[in-house]
Amino acid sequence: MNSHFALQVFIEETDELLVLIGASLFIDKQNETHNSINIDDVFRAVHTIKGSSALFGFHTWVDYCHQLEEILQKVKDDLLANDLALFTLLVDAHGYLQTQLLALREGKEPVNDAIYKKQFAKLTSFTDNSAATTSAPNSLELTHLSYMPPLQSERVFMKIEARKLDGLIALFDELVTSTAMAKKQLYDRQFDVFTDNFESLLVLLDQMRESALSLRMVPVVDSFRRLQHVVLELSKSLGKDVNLIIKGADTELDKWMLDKLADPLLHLMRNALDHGIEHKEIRLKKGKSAQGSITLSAAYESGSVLIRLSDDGAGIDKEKVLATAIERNLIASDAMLSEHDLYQLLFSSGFSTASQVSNVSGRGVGLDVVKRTIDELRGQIFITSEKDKGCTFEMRLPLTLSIIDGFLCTVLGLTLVLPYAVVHECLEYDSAKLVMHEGMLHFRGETITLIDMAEVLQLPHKSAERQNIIIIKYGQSKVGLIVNSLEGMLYAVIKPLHPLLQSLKTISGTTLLSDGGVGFVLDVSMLVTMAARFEKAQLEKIQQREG
Amino acid sequence: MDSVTVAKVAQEQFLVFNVLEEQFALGTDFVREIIEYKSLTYVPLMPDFVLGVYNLRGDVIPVIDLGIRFGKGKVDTTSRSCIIIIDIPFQEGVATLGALVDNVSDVIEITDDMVEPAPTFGARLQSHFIRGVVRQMHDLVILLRGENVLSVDEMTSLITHINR
Repeated sequence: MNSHFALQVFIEETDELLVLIGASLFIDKQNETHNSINIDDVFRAVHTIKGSSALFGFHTWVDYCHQLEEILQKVKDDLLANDLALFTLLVDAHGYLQTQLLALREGKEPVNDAIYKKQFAKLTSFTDNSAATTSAPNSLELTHLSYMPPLQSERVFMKIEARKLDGLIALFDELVTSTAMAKKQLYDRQFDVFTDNFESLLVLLDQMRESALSLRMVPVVDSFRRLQHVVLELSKSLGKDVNLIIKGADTELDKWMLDKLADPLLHLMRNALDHGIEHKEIRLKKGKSAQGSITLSAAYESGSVLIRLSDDGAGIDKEKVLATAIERNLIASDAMLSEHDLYQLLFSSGFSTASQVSNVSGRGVGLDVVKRTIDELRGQIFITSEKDKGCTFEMRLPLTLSIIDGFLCTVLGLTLVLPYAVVHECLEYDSAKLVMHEGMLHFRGETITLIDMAEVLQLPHKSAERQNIIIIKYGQSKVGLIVNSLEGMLYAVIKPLHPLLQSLKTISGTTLLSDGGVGFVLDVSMLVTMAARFEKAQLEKIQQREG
Repeated sequence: MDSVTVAKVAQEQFLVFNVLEEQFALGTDFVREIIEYKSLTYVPLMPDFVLGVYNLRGDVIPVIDLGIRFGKGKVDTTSRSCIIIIDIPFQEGVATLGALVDNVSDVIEITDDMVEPAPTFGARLQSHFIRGVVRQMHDLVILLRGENVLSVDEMTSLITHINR
């Protein structure tokens, strides 16, 4: 057995088990109690970790888990109480195991060191005097607060909902039966029946494709649950009272994307706790509730997933942001910026350098990395805030980067694909009938920026072909894309771009067309950003003219 | 990289092909397969050595014109033109490319003693592309350093530069 591979499996499994244990250690803020821990769940998880650790000769882990098991068994046998003291102990043990796992990921195997001895002693002394020896949670020695995103190992593991896999297998069985029938029908020269059967085979194939691709989609719940833990620990160490509300935990997202989101969400959560939510006294002085709240939500909105992290804290101090930006030469001293643009400055790397920044803007830490990740996921991130009321980070992401209902169009012979969900309306490009002026279309009371795809893609020659305008709607923005012909729908499996093609702006992937050719999937988020830039430039031109 | 090079080549197999009347050879380790020239899908915003992409059984593969890449000129697409599908080491994995050539001839076995140092070809071909030269019959076959001449890193940075 390849021992490196086996170790990887062990690491991933242990990670999952720790998440499970962590989920049981949830504080019910509403009712000011900790939940009565599901001892069986925790016991089973610890037992599994113990067993696997033995295989690798990690004796310290084996002994530690064994002690934990002993404690849990005593609780099961009613010899120890399932109370706050136990809860506190388990939170500590969980934290310790997480640090150990982290070290293991970095290649450091468990050793019998001073820290281990101390942790082990905590367990033995707990069993020795079952009276409440542990003090209140505040004095908990919080071990390294960490959330570990999955490692970039050679093999990527995924947890798949059994129901989905069963569904796919059932479809496959149907396929086998139908194909056998089709073969017989063909053999018996029953062409009419065969044709009907074949049509339904095609439908079946579509269903299978959708089913297979949905295996990659996972609910955000696990990822959000891990953040619950962060809130719990960090708020305690900061001495703040914070309640985390989670909405839309069932919303599903491509697993790869969800994994990539882990870090950004962690950063944003930490910022909200550190700089957003104020201390109790300050809150009360402001007339707010003593307990701060953070809401983490996920929801679908026409082909995108919207993830929002909002707090009811101090909000962003606009004056300070402006001052810092001017000071760091990010903008001119007399620049007129919209609120939206001002907040977008927080994402530039000029902001998140020194730790002093965290006092100034309150949101300096790691935001440029957050933005970079969101960009990589072909998404957008927006900030809204009101001083003393709170702050919201909103991330809009495509459901998945791997499959879309595609809408095809051509531009000078090139086939382009758009996610059907963003297509709002299609118009014929008729300069006689439409009101267009300086790259903007005035339509139904709105002004929509036009992007000439042939120009953007620098395609060689102008064509006399008929042109159409596809109006896409992405969030609040509408953009008109000038293309040639409209070609209808395609269920597109998107392949990520080949390394040689990575730098292509406005194109986020390739897909295979029914004629064997290659179609280019447009990066909607990038197009919308381009349009916004163009609009701004146009406005400035107008202002200059009138000014 | 030393400039006077007798490439240390043990017993290796090389695929010989023609680009604009000059013979080149590439280690068969890099070569996945050879296909007939088929129509390619044009890719916008690419330098001229990127001819387009090809659908190879589901994989979208960029095809480059070796003539242009070697600074010699365009490869004419005739009935004998081939695309050599090559797997090049790239970052932690492998990137697959297609290279358009005039035609493909042999697979030859090369040993150390057969290889002569690469003469300077003037500005046309940079010597870090070349391992050495081998005589086949009356012709000179230029042995290529696959990882360099088709360096995805280099091409990518060229392309990024253009798209900035």
